[in-house]
Amino acid sequence: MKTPSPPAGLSRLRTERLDPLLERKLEEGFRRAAGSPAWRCRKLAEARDLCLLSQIAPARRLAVLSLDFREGLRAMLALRVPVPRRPAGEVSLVVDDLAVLGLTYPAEAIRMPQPGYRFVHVLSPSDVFHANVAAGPVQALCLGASLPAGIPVREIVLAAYGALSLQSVQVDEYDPVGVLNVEAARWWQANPSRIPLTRTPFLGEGA
Amino acid sequence: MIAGKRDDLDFRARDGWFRIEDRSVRAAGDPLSASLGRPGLWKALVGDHDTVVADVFEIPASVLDAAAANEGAGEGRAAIVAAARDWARATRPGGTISGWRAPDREDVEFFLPSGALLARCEGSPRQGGIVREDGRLALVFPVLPRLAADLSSARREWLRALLLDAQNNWRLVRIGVAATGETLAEVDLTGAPHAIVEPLVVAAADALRCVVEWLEPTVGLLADRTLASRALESAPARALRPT
Repeated sequence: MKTPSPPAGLSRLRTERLDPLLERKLEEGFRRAAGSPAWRCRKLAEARDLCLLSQIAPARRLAVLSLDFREGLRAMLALRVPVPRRPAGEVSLVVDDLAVLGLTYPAEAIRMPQPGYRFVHVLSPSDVFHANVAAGPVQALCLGASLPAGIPVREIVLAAYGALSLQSVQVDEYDPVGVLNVEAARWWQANPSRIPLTRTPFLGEGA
Repeated sequence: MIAGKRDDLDFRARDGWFRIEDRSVRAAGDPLSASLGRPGLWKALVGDHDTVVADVFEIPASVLDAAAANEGAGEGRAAIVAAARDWARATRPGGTISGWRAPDREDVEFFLPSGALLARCEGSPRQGGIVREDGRLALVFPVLPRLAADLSSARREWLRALLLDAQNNWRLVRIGVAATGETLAEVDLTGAPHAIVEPLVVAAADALRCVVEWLEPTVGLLADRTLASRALESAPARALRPT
């Protein structure tokens, strides 16, 4: 699986001031946070980063729709990214420009490596046709064999953008790492000219 | 085995670790300032209301295995375990380490793989160091510089809870605040049997990197007084659960 180089401009996360509305969303979530003080604070730090990422991303690329600190950190995100679909009964590919993602960051993730399918599910559209997205009602997105312990949430979001837009994709069905939909893997192998769906990086301007 | 009398202390092997737990001694003073620089691997586990609930000495079984393998046809694993137990006893309060000399700094540097003393923290990587004097050997990493004087008391409480959590839940490593006000993470190998120094130095560096990298995103948030966060303006309810 190819890994895109990190986009420039992420250093702004350290200097950017958080929008008061997002700050309030964090406070509300944090008030209901469970776990040890260390885990609660870590969830806050990760969620804050996520909110800042949505703030610095151009073209409203990322929106944080909801945050839940009760157990693990859970977030619902709207990610403006080309996402391949194949509606039921059709053979042609459709490309949408928005995915709604469910992100789960469990407490174990800060101590131990986690399998790459552990963090992100595609909630919408419901008919994603992608080698690394499981077909069916629970559309897990696989970001690699294993993601390192303590991986920041923002890196998971950047990886999800890269994966969904096929800037980074694993289509080799004989390499079980990452392929969750064999039929889609074969289709994309046969149609390499369609890859990637966009060359625009996460922090780049444009669609 | 848990024992009240110091000479009865012995290891219990579990989950890949050899551990001695002593609940008979309650360390006096602040657990975050009293333990730095103490010889050996003992550290305090802290419960609710900052109460020290036990002193523990833990060493990875893999370190003892590696030491036994390095000894080859020597006295074997049982002798290594006995030597480690003697070390634990000697570094209890009131114990003494006599005639021990730290290995040369060059040897310790040679034991460590390249990059072993660099914690890859995104905000600011932390460079660890070797503290080597005739009677002392330790690996030390910086966690935080002295806190800003105007950092709110609630933020300080959160930081304290975080550091105690790290101290409780990351094995080998002690966390503390030095006299300079700097927060440090350390593993002290003073008095360690020479047979285990090499594998223990490597394990200690790994443990320190892990805990420092684990702490960084959160201490960075909590210690930054320029970052306004109403979420952190009330102190945490304490719920420490030492392992």
